[in-house]
Formats: sequence, C-alpha cells, structure tokens
Amino acid sequence: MRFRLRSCFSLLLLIVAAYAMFSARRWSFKTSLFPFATGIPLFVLAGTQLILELFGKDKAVRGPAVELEFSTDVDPAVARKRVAGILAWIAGFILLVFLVGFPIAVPVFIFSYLSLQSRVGWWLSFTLTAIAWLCFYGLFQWLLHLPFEEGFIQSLLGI
Amino acid sequence: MFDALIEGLFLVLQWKAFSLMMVGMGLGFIVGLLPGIGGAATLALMLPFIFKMSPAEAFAFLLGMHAVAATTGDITSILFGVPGEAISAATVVDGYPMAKKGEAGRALGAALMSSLVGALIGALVLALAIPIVRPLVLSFGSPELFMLAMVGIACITSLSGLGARSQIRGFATGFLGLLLSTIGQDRQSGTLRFDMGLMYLWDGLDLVPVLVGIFAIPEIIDLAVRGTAIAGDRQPENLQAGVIEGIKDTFRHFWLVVRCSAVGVFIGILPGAGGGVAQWVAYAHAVQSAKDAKDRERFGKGDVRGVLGPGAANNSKEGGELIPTVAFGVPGGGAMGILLGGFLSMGLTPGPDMLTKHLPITFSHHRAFVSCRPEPSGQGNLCAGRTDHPLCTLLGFCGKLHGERPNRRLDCDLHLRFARLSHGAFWLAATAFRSRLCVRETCRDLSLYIRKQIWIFLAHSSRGHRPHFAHRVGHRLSLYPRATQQKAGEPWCGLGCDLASVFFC
Repeated sequence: MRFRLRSCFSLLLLIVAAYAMFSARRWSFKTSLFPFATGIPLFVLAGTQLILELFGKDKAVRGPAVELEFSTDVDPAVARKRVAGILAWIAGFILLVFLVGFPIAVPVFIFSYLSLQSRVGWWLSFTLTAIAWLCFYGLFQWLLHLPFEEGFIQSLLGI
Repeated sequence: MFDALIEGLFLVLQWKAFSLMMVGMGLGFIVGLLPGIGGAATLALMLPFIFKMSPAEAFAFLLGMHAVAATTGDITSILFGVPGEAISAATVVDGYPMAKKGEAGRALGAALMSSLVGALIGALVLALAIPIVRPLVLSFGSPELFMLAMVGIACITSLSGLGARSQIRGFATGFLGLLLSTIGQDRQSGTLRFDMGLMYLWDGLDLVPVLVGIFAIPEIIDLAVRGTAIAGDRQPENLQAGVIEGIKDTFRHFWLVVRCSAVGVFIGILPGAGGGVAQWVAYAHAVQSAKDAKDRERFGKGDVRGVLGPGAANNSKEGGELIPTVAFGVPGGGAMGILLGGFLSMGLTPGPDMLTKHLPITFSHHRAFVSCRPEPSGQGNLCAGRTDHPLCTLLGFCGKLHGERPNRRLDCDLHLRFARLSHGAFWLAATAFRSRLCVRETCRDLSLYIRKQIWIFLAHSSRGHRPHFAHRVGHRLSLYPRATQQKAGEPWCGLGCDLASVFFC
C-alpha cells in the first residue's frame, strides 16, 4: 500500500459523498433523491479510485488530461515566497471587504496594490484607482442600483 | 415565407431598430466583459425599457445585447483567463495559454470568427428547423434531460485523459459537480440542502464565482509567481496579423467549426441544457477530433482548435435556443425565459402565431441575432382568469396595499413600500401552477413553472431590521431600491424574485 498526495483528492471525494448521503437520509424522498442519485455513484467511483491508487500498479497513461498549465521555470523558493505574497493580498482583500464593505474596499485595495506591490507612481495609482472606483460605483450603485452589504465596522458603529 | 424574411430584414434595418440594436450591442459588450453580471440578468434589467418600443425594435435591442454578451465573454477568457460569462469558461483552457504564448490576437480572431460562423449556422437552422423540431422538443422530458446531462459528463470525462483510471476520475469529478449543484433549496419541497446554516447558500452556488475561483485565482497566482506580463518576455505579436491568422484558422478547420456549431444548435434547442454544456461538449468534441495522442497533447497548451470549438458553439446555441422559445413558448434557457416575458409584454403570444401572423417579427429576431452577433402588463390583468393561486394571491395582497396609498406609483421593479406589517420573510416554494395571463387583449392559459422560490418580504424597517434578505440569499436581482434609501421606521412590502427563473411553459 502506498499513500500518495494525489490519493487525498479521492479520499476527499469519498468523504464528501459519505457526508452528502448521511445528511440526505433525514430528508423526504423527493428531496433526497438527487443527492443519493449522485452521491452513491460518487462514493463508489471515489472508493474504486482510492483502492486503485493505494493497491494498484502504476500504469502508463495512454493519453494526457487536458488541463491548465502553470509555470515550472521559477526557482521553488522564490515561487513559494511569491505565492505567499499574492495569497496574503487576496486574503487581505477579503478581510477588507468584510470589514469596510465592497464600495470602500475596492478603491483602498487597488490603490494599495498599485502603489505598494506594483510600485506604480502615486499619481498614476491615484488616477487608476479613481477610474476603477468610478466604473464600479457608476455601474453597480448608480446605474444598476445594486447595493452591497455594509462592512462589519459600519454595522458595529451603526453608520 | 420569403416575403416575411425580407420584411423582417427591413424591420431591423429601420434606423430606430438598428440604432437600438447598436445600443444593445454596446451594453452587451460591457456586460460580457464584466465577470459577474450575466447576459440573462442584464436582459431582465432592460425589460422595463422596451415597453415603449415596437416589437421589432425591442427584440433587436434585447437580442443584440444578448448575442454580444455571449461573444465578448470570450475576450476576457482569452486575455486574462477570467471567464466574462459562465458560458465562456471552456475558452479559457486553450485561449489563455495562447495569450501566454503571445498569440492573443490570433486567439481573439479565431474566437470571434468562429462565433460569427456559429451564429450564421444557428440563425440558418432557426429559419429552417421550426417545422422539424417540434416533435423533438416536445418529447424531451426529465429522463431525456438527465440522459443528456450524462452524455455531457461523459464528453467532459474524455478530457481527463485516456485509460480506465482517468475515466473513473473524470466521472467521479462529474458526479461531484452534480452533487454540488444540489446545494441550496430543493425546488420541489423547499427543503434546504447542505446550506451549513449559511443564508448565502440557500440559493445554491453561483456559477460565476465558482468559475473565477477555479480558473482566475490559480492564473493570478501563477502570474504573480512568474512576475512578468501575461505573455512573458516574448516580443509582442503584430495584433492585426494575429487576428487575420485567427480568421484564417477558422476556415482551415472549417468542418470542426461547423460540427461544433451543430452541437451548439442541438443543445440550444433542448430546453434547460444551458450554454455551459454546449461549450464544454463542443470543446470535448474538438479534443476528440485530434488525430492521435501526440496531437491531443497540444490541447490545453494553446491549440487554436480549442478556441474554435467553444467559440462556434457559444453563438450557434443562441439560434437553437430561439427555436422552442418562438415556436412553442418553451424557453431554451434562462435568458430566453426573460425574452419570452418580453414577447408577452409586447402582446405577442409565442406559438403558432409567431410562425403565421407575426412571421416578419420572428424573422426580425433572426436578423437581429445574425447582425450582431406601451404599456406594461398590469398586475390586475395577470389575475384576470383565476385568483386562487399563490402568485395572484400575492399580487392581490400587494395590490391592495398599493390601493391604500394611490398617490404612490407602482414601481416598474415591483417594489412596494406601503405595508405596516411585522418584520419577516417567507417564500413560495418553487412550484408549477396554472394561470390565465392577459396582456392587452390577448389572453392565454399558461402553466407557470417557477424554477426558484419567490421571496416575499414583510418588514417594518428600522435601523436594526434592514431588509437585506435578497442580497444575502444569493445575488438575485435587486427588485427594490437600495436599502440605504429606506428611511428608518418606514414600513414596506417587497416582492423579490429571480426573473431569470420564471419560466412560462
């Protein structure tokens, strides 16, 4: 038996299918029909895949999968550092949206990213931020009247 | 028939209809570029603007917008790896790698030209196929649609590689997708499934955020890792030459484009299958048309055939979707459901009349579709026949409230703010019921199938009780003005429903 990293995906599918069927058992027949109809085959297929990966022999792949290709020519240490950086920016953006809401988070994030990460000049950063904010506000707030959730801070302060 | 075809052409070429079509195309272009605002949602938003237009003008405007939105979604897919529309995801797989190789112009030329060819084929089929497809459309029920979904999964499974193990993995992933689609409210019983206690999940997973998560976030991270421009350090291509090369590619692989267009038309004709299915099946077909394993390896790395197939299917399915919509009043998809609402509000009853009395109007749709690639129905009329079904009860209820304050007009977005009621919300479960719908002097018995729940909000708003349900529940259209405009303490009654989900069968 050899447990490899790719087996985690099959294991995850197995757990998801089991959880779906476990949850569906409480529901009415009509409600639970589709989760069972998809959960049972998923459970069987994921189980088969997991068993083959753990106990089966490695077979040469007859044809490659069609999938997105990513860069492999960057030094792994540099790549890890850059991944951590961009993930921090993404997480920061989500946190900002949660704290102050979308309409404020968008310009703050764009300006910060342009000036701090991309090292764009202050004036250009400001201009691009203003254009982005105007498009954003003009389309969603002014034209479409699609309101966004207020941020946690506004809710807390009752603004 | 030929006279009607010519008359339809001239209806669209009149300056007003043509100008409105151009405006629609401009709007569709912007909407298609922006991930998150779908073509169907924009159609719903634009419906109030068509009431003072003639039918030919209205449908030139709406179809111009819709057809362009489907095409321009491919532009962001190719340039940034971010699908502008849910139905443009398959273009990312080969379009974005082409951009990374410095062949963005070629990819764009191929996508746009194949879309044009697909649109022409779709429109041709629309003009010819109406008498033929009736038995096909009417014979499709739930079992047949389920089998079609299985065929779609089988096609996509072929992308996961050759060999038994790859097929198992592909099918398992397909079933995972089906299982994820069950998240949210059950449309028959109203029971919440896998909502984890989050109101956001009540409406299920929205496709665009999921696609952005799958395609765009990894590409953004990869771009940050490389630390270069999308095309890297390559010399920028001659854009014009690249676009011309892409156009030539369309004709080099012309039969592939025709076959993928046929796939798009066929899937478009079938109600409920959706554009995403058409694109992925067309992409899978393009991959399967590879001569050998070595040829197949090129897909996913920037093969132009991977752009041509989805591009052709993307637009040909629009023609296919119009066939059941126009001929039988059965919309081929969400956007067509909204268009059907537009038909009814214009006093046009979809069905045999569209092929006889209103044939020039029908042909004007097909012209508007190819070229780009007044009075609203009163709520009282809606309930003219029967008043014992939930929608009429609801409208009667809100109408009564409206009547109590006659100085306040009924907003076109169905917003009513006249109730002094307790705070709360409930919904009508997705259901089917019969109604007699009257628009002007035309009345018809209709079975209304509401694919998702209609929400009814009863609120006495105050600072602590802001009615944010619609936006928490799931990005459905805002059918009332901003909550922030609501004065504290002002009572209101709101009706929120996903217009894209109301199907007239």
